[in-house]
Amino acid sequence: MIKHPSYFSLYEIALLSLFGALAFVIRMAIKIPLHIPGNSGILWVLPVIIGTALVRKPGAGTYVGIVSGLLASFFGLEALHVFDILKYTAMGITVDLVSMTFGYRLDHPVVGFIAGAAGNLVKMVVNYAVHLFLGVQGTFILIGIGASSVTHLVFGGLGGILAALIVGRLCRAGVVHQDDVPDDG
Amino acid sequence: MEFGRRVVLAVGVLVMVVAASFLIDTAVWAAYLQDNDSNNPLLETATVDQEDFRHGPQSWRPYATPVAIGPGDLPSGDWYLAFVELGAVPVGGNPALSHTGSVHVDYRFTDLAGTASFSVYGLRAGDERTWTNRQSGYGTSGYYVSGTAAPGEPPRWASPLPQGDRYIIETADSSHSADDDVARGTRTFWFERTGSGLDGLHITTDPAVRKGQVTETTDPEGSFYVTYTGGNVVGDLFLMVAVDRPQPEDFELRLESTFVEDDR
Repeated sequence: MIKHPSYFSLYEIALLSLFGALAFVIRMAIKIPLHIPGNSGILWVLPVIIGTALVRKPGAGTYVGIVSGLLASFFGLEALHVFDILKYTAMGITVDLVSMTFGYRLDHPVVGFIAGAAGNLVKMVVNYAVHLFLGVQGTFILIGIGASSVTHLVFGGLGGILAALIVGRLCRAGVVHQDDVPDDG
Repeated sequence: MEFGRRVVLAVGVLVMVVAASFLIDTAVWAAYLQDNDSNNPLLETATVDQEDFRHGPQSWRPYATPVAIGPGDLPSGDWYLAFVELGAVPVGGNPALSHTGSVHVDYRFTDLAGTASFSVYGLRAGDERTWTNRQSGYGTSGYYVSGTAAPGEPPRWASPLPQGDRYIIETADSSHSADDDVARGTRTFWFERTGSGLDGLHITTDPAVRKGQVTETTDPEGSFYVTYTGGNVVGDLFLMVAVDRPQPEDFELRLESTFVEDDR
Protein backbone atom coordinates (compact mmCIF):
# COMPACT_ATOMS: atom_id res chain seq x y z
CA MET A 1 0.00 0.00 0.00
CA ILE A 2 1.36 3.39 -1.01
CA LYS A 3 1.42 5.87 1.80
CA HIS A 4 0.95 9.46 0.62
CA PRO A 5 2.87 12.03 2.62
CA SER A 6 0.64 14.63 4.22
CA TYR A 7 0.90 18.26 3.12
CA PHE A 8 2.00 19.39 6.58
CA SER A 9 4.41 17.24 8.58
CA LEU A 10 3.48 16.13 12.07
CA TYR A 11 5.90 18.71 13.46
CA GLU A 12 4.30 21.48 11.38
CA ILE A 13 0.78 20.47 12.38
CA ALA A 14 1.77 20.49 16.04
CA LEU A 15 3.47 23.87 15.66
CA LEU A 16 0.55 25.47 13.79
CA SER A 17 -1.99 24.05 16.24
CA LEU A 18 -0.03 25.49 19.15
CA PHE A 19 0.10 28.88 17.46
CA GLY A 20 -3.65 28.67 16.78
CA ALA A 21 -4.27 27.91 20.44
CA LEU A 22 -1.92 30.77 21.40
CA ALA A 23 -3.89 33.22 19.23
CA PHE A 24 -7.08 32.14 21.02
CA VAL A 25 -5.51 32.37 24.48
CA ILE A 26 -4.06 35.83 23.76
CA ARG A 27 -7.44 37.01 22.48
CA MET A 28 -9.27 35.73 25.57
CA ALA A 29 -6.73 36.43 28.31
CA ILE A 30 -5.36 39.85 27.44
CA LYS A 31 -7.77 42.76 27.36
CA ILE A 32 -6.35 46.20 26.64
CA PRO A 33 -8.88 48.76 27.97
CA LEU A 34 -8.18 51.38 25.30
CA HIS A 35 -11.69 51.32 23.79
CA ILE A 36 -10.04 51.81 20.42
CA PRO A 37 -11.33 49.55 17.64
CA GLY A 38 -8.82 46.90 16.57
CA ASN A 39 -6.38 47.45 19.43
CA SER A 40 -6.26 43.73 20.17
CA GLY A 41 -4.76 43.20 16.72
CA ILE A 42 -1.38 44.29 18.02
CA LEU A 43 -1.20 41.00 19.93
CA TRP A 44 -3.21 38.38 18.13
CA VAL A 45 -1.57 38.81 14.71
CA LEU A 46 1.69 37.68 16.34
CA PRO A 47 0.97 33.90 16.48
CA VAL A 48 -0.61 33.91 13.01
CA ILE A 49 2.35 35.62 11.36
CA ILE A 50 5.04 33.77 13.32
CA GLY A 51 3.38 30.40 12.65
CA THR A 52 3.18 31.17 8.95
CA ALA A 53 6.79 32.37 8.89
CA LEU A 54 8.09 29.24 10.56
CA VAL A 55 6.24 26.69 8.41
CA ARG A 56 6.54 28.66 5.15
CA LYS A 57 3.88 26.74 3.24
CA PRO A 58 0.69 28.04 1.61
CA GLY A 59 -2.18 27.35 3.98
CA ALA A 60 -0.18 27.67 7.19
CA GLY A 61 -1.84 30.96 8.16
CA THR A 62 -5.24 29.58 7.24
CA TYR A 63 -4.59 26.54 9.46
CA VAL A 64 -3.68 28.77 12.42
CA GLY A 65 -6.78 30.88 11.73
CA ILE A 66 -9.09 27.86 11.59
CA VAL A 67 -7.70 26.37 14.83
CA SER A 68 -8.03 29.66 16.73
CA GLY A 69 -11.44 30.26 15.14
CA LEU A 70 -12.73 26.85 16.19
CA LEU A 71 -11.51 27.39 19.74
CA ALA A 72 -13.05 30.87 19.85
CA SER A 73 -16.33 29.60 18.42
CA PHE A 74 -16.84 26.89 20.99
CA PHE A 75 -14.89 28.04 24.03
CA GLY A 76 -14.64 31.80 23.62
CA LEU A 77 -16.61 34.61 25.15
CA GLU A 78 -16.87 36.74 22.04
CA ALA A 79 -20.22 38.07 20.89
CA LEU A 80 -20.36 36.27 17.58
CA HIS A 81 -19.96 32.70 18.89
CA VAL A 82 -19.78 30.29 15.94
CA PHE A 83 -19.37 33.17 13.50
CA ASP A 84 -16.02 33.93 15.12
CA ILE A 85 -14.46 31.25 12.97
CA LEU A 86 -15.08 33.44 9.92
CA LYS A 87 -13.01 36.38 11.11
CA TYR A 88 -10.16 34.25 12.47
CA THR A 89 -10.01 32.22 9.25
CA ALA A 90 -10.22 35.35 7.11
CA MET A 91 -7.24 36.79 8.94
CA GLY A 92 -5.26 33.57 8.41
CA ILE A 93 -6.06 33.48 4.70
CA THR A 94 -4.99 37.11 4.35
CA VAL A 95 -1.66 36.50 6.11
CA ASP A 96 -1.16 33.50 3.81
CA LEU A 97 -1.79 35.59 0.71
CA VAL A 98 0.53 38.39 1.83
CA SER A 99 3.23 35.85 2.74
CA MET A 100 3.05 34.18 -0.65
CA THR A 101 3.10 37.53 -2.41
CA PHE A 102 6.34 38.47 -0.65
CA GLY A 103 8.00 35.05 -0.84
CA TYR A 104 7.64 34.44 2.90
CA ARG A 105 9.97 37.29 3.83
CA LEU A 106 8.01 37.72 7.05
CA ASP A 107 11.18 38.61 8.93
CA HIS A 108 11.15 41.95 7.07
CA PRO A 109 9.36 44.62 9.16
CA VAL A 110 7.67 46.15 6.12
CA VAL A 111 6.22 42.79 5.08
CA GLY A 112 5.25 42.15 8.69
CA PHE A 113 3.44 45.50 8.78
CA ILE A 114 1.56 44.74 5.58
CA ALA A 115 0.60 41.22 6.72
CA GLY A 116 -0.57 42.40 10.16
CA ALA A 117 -2.43 45.44 8.85
CA ALA A 118 -4.12 43.50 6.04
CA GLY A 119 -5.08 40.67 8.41
CA ASN A 120 -6.55 43.02 10.99
CA LEU A 121 -8.41 45.04 8.32
CA VAL A 122 -9.92 41.91 6.78
CA LYS A 123 -10.95 40.76 10.25
CA MET A 124 -12.71 44.13 10.71
CA VAL A 125 -14.54 43.83 7.39
CA VAL A 126 -15.71 40.28 8.21
CA ASN A 127 -16.79 41.46 11.67
CA TYR A 128 -18.93 44.26 10.18
CA ALA A 129 -20.37 41.89 7.57
CA VAL A 130 -21.40 39.34 10.22
CA HIS A 131 -23.01 42.05 12.36
CA LEU A 132 -24.98 43.31 9.35
CA PHE A 133 -25.93 39.72 8.51
CA LEU A 134 -27.20 39.26 12.07
CA GLY A 135 -29.49 42.25 11.69
CA VAL A 136 -27.65 44.99 13.59
CA GLN A 137 -28.74 48.38 12.27
CA GLY A 138 -26.21 49.43 9.65
CA THR A 139 -26.38 53.11 10.55
CA PHE A 140 -25.14 52.51 14.05
CA ILE A 141 -22.18 50.31 13.18
CA LEU A 142 -21.08 51.82 9.86
CA ILE A 143 -20.79 55.32 11.31
CA GLY A 144 -17.19 55.43 12.46
CA ILE A 145 -15.90 52.72 10.12
CA GLY A 146 -13.41 55.21 8.62
CA ALA A 147 -11.56 55.88 11.86
CA SER A 148 -11.97 52.23 12.80
CA SER A 149 -10.20 51.12 9.61
CA VAL A 150 -7.24 53.40 10.42
CA THR A 151 -6.90 52.03 13.96
CA HIS A 152 -7.20 48.44 12.71
CA LEU A 153 -4.48 49.16 10.14
CA VAL A 154 -2.17 50.79 12.70
CA PHE A 155 -2.57 48.20 15.46
CA GLY A 156 -2.43 45.25 13.06
CA GLY A 157 0.62 46.78 11.38
CA LEU A 158 2.39 47.31 14.70
CA GLY A 159 1.68 43.71 15.64
CA GLY A 160 3.06 42.64 12.27
CA ILE A 161 6.28 44.60 12.83
CA LEU A 162 6.69 42.97 16.24
CA ALA A 163 6.12 39.54 14.66
CA ALA A 164 8.70 40.29 11.96
CA LEU A 165 11.28 41.34 14.54
CA ILE A 166 10.65 38.14 16.52
CA VAL A 167 10.91 35.98 13.39
CA GLY A 168 14.11 37.73 12.35
CA ARG A 169 15.71 37.20 15.74
CA LEU A 170 14.64 33.55 15.86
CA CYS A 171 16.10 32.91 12.42
CA ARG A 172 19.35 34.71 13.09
CA ALA A 173 19.74 32.92 16.41
CA GLY A 174 19.29 29.60 14.64
CA VAL A 175 16.46 28.62 16.95
CA VAL A 176 14.28 27.79 13.97
CA HIS A 177 15.02 26.40 10.51
CA GLN A 178 16.17 29.30 8.37
CA ASP A 179 15.95 27.98 4.80
CA ASP A 180 16.22 30.99 2.53
CA VAL A 181 15.44 33.72 5.04
CA PRO A 182 17.96 36.45 4.28
CA ASP A 183 20.37 37.20 7.09
CA ASP A 184 20.41 40.94 6.53
CA GLY A 185 16.67 41.22 6.90
CA MET B 1 7.88 41.99 -9.81
CA GLU B 2 10.62 43.34 -7.57
CA PHE B 3 10.20 43.55 -3.81
CA GLY B 4 9.86 47.38 -3.68
CA ARG B 5 7.06 47.42 -6.23
CA ARG B 6 5.16 44.74 -4.37
CA VAL B 7 5.45 46.78 -1.18
CA VAL B 8 4.15 49.90 -2.92
CA LEU B 9 1.29 47.91 -4.47
CA ALA B 10 0.34 46.33 -1.13
CA VAL B 11 0.44 49.65 0.71
CA GLY B 12 -1.68 51.13 -2.09
CA VAL B 13 -4.29 48.41 -1.61
CA LEU B 14 -4.37 49.06 2.15
CA VAL B 15 -4.77 52.79 1.58
CA MET B 16 -7.62 52.10 -0.86
CA VAL B 17 -9.40 49.94 1.74
CA VAL B 18 -9.08 52.73 4.32
CA ALA B 19 -10.26 55.31 1.77
CA ALA B 20 -13.27 53.13 0.91
CA SER B 21 -14.07 52.88 4.62
CA PHE B 22 -14.02 56.65 4.96
CA LEU B 23 -16.26 56.97 1.89
CA ILE B 24 -18.78 54.55 3.41
CA ASP B 25 -18.55 56.35 6.75
CA THR B 26 -19.14 59.75 5.13
CA ALA B 27 -22.00 58.47 2.96
CA VAL B 28 -23.79 56.79 5.89
CA TRP B 29 -23.29 59.85 8.08
CA ALA B 30 -24.57 62.18 5.36
CA ALA B 31 -27.62 59.96 4.82
CA TYR B 32 -28.22 59.92 8.57
CA LEU B 33 -28.06 63.71 8.82
CA GLN B 34 -30.28 64.12 5.77
CA ASP B 35 -32.86 61.76 7.23
CA ASN B 36 -32.61 63.50 10.56
CA ASP B 37 -33.40 66.86 9.00
CA SER B 38 -36.43 65.73 7.02
CA ASN B 39 -39.01 65.41 9.81
CA ASN B 40 -36.66 63.12 11.68
CA PRO B 41 -37.63 59.68 10.31
CA LEU B 42 -35.21 58.10 12.78
CA LEU B 43 -37.58 59.23 15.50
CA GLU B 44 -39.21 56.10 16.84
CA THR B 45 -42.60 56.23 18.49
CA ALA B 46 -44.36 53.65 20.62
CA THR B 47 -47.52 53.53 22.65
CA VAL B 48 -48.03 51.44 25.75
CA ASP B 49 -51.55 50.69 26.94
CA GLN B 50 -53.10 48.64 29.72
CA GLU B 51 -52.73 45.34 27.83
CA ASP B 52 -49.00 45.77 27.27
CA PHE B 53 -48.23 44.96 30.90
CA ARG B 54 -47.61 41.27 30.21
CA HIS B 55 -45.57 40.40 33.30
CA GLY B 56 -46.34 40.61 37.01
CA PRO B 57 -47.35 41.16 39.68
CA GLN B 58 -43.82 40.87 41.05
CA SER B 59 -41.48 42.85 43.27
CA TRP B 60 -38.34 42.56 41.15
CA ARG B 61 -37.12 43.12 37.62
CA PRO B 62 -34.90 40.88 35.49
CA TYR B 63 -31.19 40.57 36.19
CA ALA B 64 -28.84 37.72 37.22
CA THR B 65 -30.32 38.17 40.69
CA PRO B 66 -33.67 39.89 41.23
CA VAL B 67 -33.28 43.65 41.64
CA ALA B 68 -35.75 46.19 42.98
CA ILE B 69 -38.08 48.11 40.71
CA GLY B 70 -39.07 50.95 42.96
CA PRO B 71 -36.68 53.42 44.58
CA GLY B 72 -34.41 51.67 47.04
CA ASP B 73 -32.30 48.54 47.17
CA LEU B 74 -34.75 45.83 48.19
CA PRO B 75 -37.49 44.39 45.97
CA SER B 76 -40.93 45.29 47.30
CA GLY B 77 -44.45 45.91 46.05
CA ASP B 78 -46.50 44.35 43.28
CA TRP B 79 -45.41 45.71 39.94
CA TYR B 80 -46.63 45.04 36.41
CA LEU B 81 -43.96 45.17 33.70
CA ALA B 82 -44.04 46.18 30.04
CA PHE B 83 -41.04 46.10 27.69
CA VAL B 84 -40.81 48.47 24.73
CA GLU B 85 -38.10 48.37 22.05
CA LEU B 86 -36.91 51.94 21.58
CA GLY B 87 -35.65 51.54 18.00
CA ALA B 88 -32.51 53.60 18.62
CA VAL B 89 -29.40 52.59 20.53
CA PRO B 90 -26.78 54.59 22.43
CA VAL B 91 -23.26 54.41 21.02
CA GLY B 92 -20.30 54.30 23.38
CA GLY B 93 -16.58 54.00 22.86
CA ASN B 94 -13.86 56.53 22.25
CA PRO B 95 -15.54 59.83 21.25
CA ALA B 96 -12.51 60.82 19.20
CA LEU B 97 -12.95 57.81 16.96
CA SER B 98 -16.66 57.34 16.44
CA HIS B 99 -19.94 59.22 16.58
CA THR B 100 -20.89 58.43 20.15
CA GLY B 101 -24.28 59.44 21.43
CA SER B 102 -27.26 58.71 23.61
CA VAL B 103 -30.96 58.01 23.09
CA HIS B 104 -33.35 60.82 23.94
CA VAL B 105 -36.72 59.59 25.19
CA ASP B 106 -39.82 61.77 25.47
CA TYR B 107 -42.71 60.31 27.45
CA ARG B 108 -46.31 61.38 28.04
CA PHE B 109 -48.61 59.54 30.47
CA THR B 110 -52.38 59.68 30.32
CA ASP B 111 -54.29 58.51 33.41
CA LEU B 112 -51.37 57.03 35.31
CA ALA B 113 -52.33 55.32 38.57
CA GLY B 114 -49.65 54.97 41.22
CA THR B 115 -45.95 55.07 40.36
CA ALA B 116 -44.31 54.21 37.07
CA SER B 117 -40.67 53.15 37.02
CA PHE B 118 -38.44 53.31 33.93
CA SER B 119 -35.47 50.97 33.52
CA VAL B 120 -33.39 50.21 30.44
CA TYR B 121 -32.13 46.95 28.99
CA GLY B 122 -29.57 46.74 26.21
CA LEU B 123 -28.73 43.60 24.24
CA ARG B 124 -25.19 43.20 23.06
CA ALA B 125 -25.03 43.09 19.27
CA GLY B 126 -24.93 39.53 18.00
CA ASP B 127 -26.05 37.70 21.13
CA GLU B 128 -28.50 37.81 24.04
CA ARG B 129 -26.08 39.14 26.64
CA THR B 130 -27.93 41.96 28.35
CA TRP B 131 -27.05 45.08 30.31
CA THR B 132 -29.29 47.17 32.53
CA ASN B 133 -29.04 50.28 34.67
CA ARG B 134 -27.68 49.89 38.19
CA GLN B 135 -30.38 49.82 40.86
CA SER B 136 -28.27 50.24 43.99
CA GLY B 137 -24.84 51.43 45.03
CA TYR B 138 -22.51 53.82 43.24
CA GLY B 139 -23.79 54.74 39.79
CA THR B 140 -27.48 54.07 40.51
CA SER B 141 -29.83 55.60 37.97
CA GLY B 142 -33.55 55.47 37.41
CA TYR B 143 -36.64 57.50 36.61
CA TYR B 144 -39.94 57.42 38.52
CA VAL B 145 -43.20 59.16 37.70
CA SER B 146 -46.19 59.35 40.07
CA GLY B 147 -49.78 59.70 38.87
CA THR B 148 -53.11 60.37 40.54
CA ALA B 149 -55.61 58.38 38.45
CA ALA B 150 -57.78 55.73 40.11
CA PRO B 151 -56.44 52.17 39.69
CA GLY B 152 -58.15 49.78 37.29
CA GLU B 153 -58.77 46.05 37.36
CA PRO B 154 -55.74 43.73 37.73
CA PRO B 155 -54.70 42.55 34.24
CA ARG B 156 -55.82 38.94 33.65
CA TRP B 157 -53.25 38.46 30.90
CA ALA B 158 -50.20 39.20 33.06
CA SER B 159 -48.09 36.50 34.71
CA PRO B 160 -44.93 36.81 36.82
CA LEU B 161 -41.59 36.08 35.20
CA PRO B 162 -39.79 32.99 36.53
CA GLN B 163 -36.54 33.84 38.30
CA GLY B 164 -33.23 32.92 36.68
CA ASP B 165 -30.49 34.44 34.57
CA ARG B 166 -32.31 34.04 31.24
CA TYR B 167 -35.70 35.65 30.67
CA ILE B 168 -38.08 35.44 27.74
CA ILE B 169 -39.99 38.69 27.81
CA GLU B 170 -43.00 39.72 25.75
CA THR B 171 -42.51 43.04 24.05
CA ALA B 172 -45.13 45.75 23.90
CA ASP B 173 -44.23 46.64 20.35
CA SER B 174 -43.66 43.52 18.24
CA SER B 175 -43.07 45.36 15.00
CA HIS B 176 -39.98 43.26 14.33
CA SER B 177 -38.09 40.38 15.88
CA ALA B 178 -34.51 39.62 14.87
CA ASP B 179 -34.42 36.16 16.39
CA ASP B 180 -36.26 33.49 14.45
CA ASP B 181 -35.87 30.90 17.20
CA VAL B 182 -38.38 32.51 19.52
CA ALA B 183 -42.00 33.37 18.92
CA ARG B 184 -42.84 36.75 17.44
CA GLY B 185 -43.16 39.45 20.06
CA THR B 186 -40.73 37.91 22.55
CA ARG B 187 -37.05 38.52 23.20
CA THR B 188 -34.55 36.77 25.40
CA PHE B 189 -32.48 38.61 28.00
CA TRP B 190 -29.45 36.75 29.32
CA PHE B 191 -27.36 37.96 32.24
CA GLU B 192 -23.96 36.35 32.25
CA ARG B 193 -23.16 36.59 35.95
CA THR B 194 -24.06 38.54 39.06
CA GLY B 195 -22.28 41.89 39.25
CA SER B 196 -21.70 42.07 35.50
CA GLY B 197 -23.65 44.22 33.07
CA LEU B 198 -24.72 46.94 35.51
CA ASP B 199 -22.33 49.74 34.66
CA GLY B 200 -22.83 50.26 30.93
CA LEU B 201 -26.33 51.68 30.57
CA HIS B 202 -27.61 54.67 32.49
CA ILE B 203 -30.69 56.90 32.70
CA THR B 204 -29.95 60.59 32.99
CA THR B 205 -31.73 63.91 32.60
CA ASP B 206 -28.48 65.55 31.49
CA PRO B 207 -26.42 63.76 28.81
CA ALA B 208 -23.30 65.45 30.20
CA VAL B 209 -23.84 63.47 33.42
CA ARG B 210 -23.24 60.19 31.70
CA LYS B 211 -23.54 57.89 34.71
CA GLY B 212 -27.02 59.23 35.36
CA GLN B 213 -29.01 59.86 38.52
CA VAL B 214 -32.29 58.89 40.18
CA THR B 215 -35.18 61.18 39.26
CA GLU B 216 -38.61 61.21 40.90
CA THR B 217 -41.31 63.44 39.45
CA THR B 218 -45.07 63.93 39.31
CA ASP B 219 -44.97 65.53 35.85
CA PRO B 220 -46.86 63.22 33.42
CA GLU B 221 -44.76 64.57 30.54
CA GLY B 222 -41.02 64.74 30.40
CA SER B 223 -37.85 63.39 28.90
CA PHE B 224 -34.62 61.64 29.77
CA TYR B 225 -31.58 60.21 28.04
CA VAL B 226 -30.23 56.69 27.91
CA THR B 227 -26.43 56.82 27.88
CA TYR B 228 -23.89 54.04 27.34
CA THR B 229 -20.39 54.05 28.78
CA GLY B 230 -19.29 50.58 27.64
CA GLY B 231 -17.05 49.73 24.74
CA ASN B 232 -19.16 47.08 22.99
CA VAL B 233 -21.97 47.62 20.52
CA VAL B 234 -25.53 47.78 21.83
CA GLY B 235 -27.67 45.94 19.28
CA ASP B 236 -31.13 46.60 20.71
CA LEU B 237 -32.41 48.83 23.47
CA PHE B 238 -35.54 48.16 25.51
CA LEU B 239 -37.32 50.41 27.97
CA MET B 240 -38.99 48.61 30.85
CA VAL B 241 -42.03 50.42 32.20
CA ALA B 242 -43.27 49.08 35.52
CA VAL B 243 -46.36 50.28 37.39
CA ASP B 244 -47.23 49.47 40.98
CA ARG B 245 -51.01 49.66 40.46
CA PRO B 246 -53.31 48.07 37.88
CA GLN B 247 -53.89 50.75 35.29
CA PRO B 248 -57.31 52.09 34.24
CA GLU B 249 -58.70 51.47 30.77
CA ASP B 250 -57.80 54.96 29.57
CA PHE B 251 -54.17 54.58 30.57
CA GLU B 252 -51.69 55.37 27.81
CA LEU B 253 -47.97 56.00 27.66
CA ARG B 254 -46.67 57.67 24.52
CA LEU B 255 -42.93 57.33 23.87
CA GLU B 256 -40.72 59.05 21.31
CA SER B 257 -37.07 58.09 21.08
CA THR B 258 -34.24 59.28 18.88
CA PHE B 259 -30.46 59.04 18.69
CA VAL B 260 -28.65 62.20 19.78
CA GLU B 261 -24.96 62.57 18.99
CA ASP B 262 -22.70 63.72 21.80
CA ASP B 263 -21.32 67.24 21.70
CA ARG B 264 -17.64 67.13 20.87
